[in-house]
Amino acid sequence: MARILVAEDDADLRSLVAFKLASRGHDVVQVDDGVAALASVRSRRPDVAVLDVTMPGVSGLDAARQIREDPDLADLPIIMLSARAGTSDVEAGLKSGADDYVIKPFSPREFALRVEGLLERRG
Amino acid sequence: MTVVPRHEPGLELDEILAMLSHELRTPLSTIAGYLEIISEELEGRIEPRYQLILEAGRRNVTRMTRLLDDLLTVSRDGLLVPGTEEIDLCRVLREVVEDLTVPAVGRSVDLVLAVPEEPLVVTGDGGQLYRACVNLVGNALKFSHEGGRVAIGVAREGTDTVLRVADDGIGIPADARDQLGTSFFRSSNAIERQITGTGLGLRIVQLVADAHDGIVEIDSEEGRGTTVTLRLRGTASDPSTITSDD
Repeated sequence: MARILVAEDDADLRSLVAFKLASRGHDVVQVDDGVAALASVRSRRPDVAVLDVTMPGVSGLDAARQIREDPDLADLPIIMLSARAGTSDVEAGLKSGADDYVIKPFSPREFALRVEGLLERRG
Repeated sequence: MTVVPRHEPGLELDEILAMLSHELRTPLSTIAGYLEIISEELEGRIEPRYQLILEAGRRNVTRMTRLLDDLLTVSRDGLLVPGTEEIDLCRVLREVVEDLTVPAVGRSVDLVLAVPEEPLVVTGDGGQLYRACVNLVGNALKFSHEGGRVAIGVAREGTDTVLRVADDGIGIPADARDQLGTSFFRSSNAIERQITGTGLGLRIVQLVADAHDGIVEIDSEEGRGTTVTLRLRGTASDPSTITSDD
């Protein structure tokens, strides 16, 4: 079981991701914007953060950059969720410091496996 | 008070396409995700007729995802970058024929693949080349008559690698030829015969060709059939593998 932060501004999609991860035994915290995501990673220190790219206020890309710049959080595994599928978008996502970039629509099962795979690789 | 203008200042078509491709992905993701979860949860305990309904839902999610990918490709944000992988085109074509066997059998169209035994390797992007090939063979299949034949081949010609897809289907009317490869263009005989399509397939083949320094040539006669050639220039790097296709 891992502690997972899910930051996504679309309530239905956020519930779906949280439902899938929780059904596999993970402890999921949900937030709906980038500011809350940053506050949550600092106060609760999850094992992995799932960040949507286009959230209001602080975007997922900005949140990932700030996490990477924080010495206490720099090694936090990050998976980016995105509705932007262009090559340059994927590049921008990975350059921001994300470990993985998942394009919508995605299979919840595959997504959960990617989260778990990342957790395993990070030991 | 601000009055919202009746006519919006011009948004470019490719800007609108990019926006649509992005904006529709999040709601589609929720629909696709819950359909998958329901299928998993109910596996083995669902009446066959509901199973069919679920499968139809999932099939159409896949279809819509492809459409969104196509819209993105032809939009402002869809720049295809040249790849650097070593791709065996014979393998790509075998995969395409395998993936289109079910619809081909459904329409009694014979997909005849003629590729050399040895690999025909080009440098490029495997995903893009697959899409170009699946669009070419898919189009040939779509515009074939029931019981028709689609011949698919690839060979080296000089320093080029040349892929050809030929059908004996409905062909393209002469007055439509100038508009081929324009996004959303559909020829009059395709519309008359109610052949479904978005008019993006050939445009995407052209964009993939551009990204691989290739050209697309079309030879067609209405009522007789169409041959489309995708010529990837200067891709035959090993002279020993160069053969001529007579």
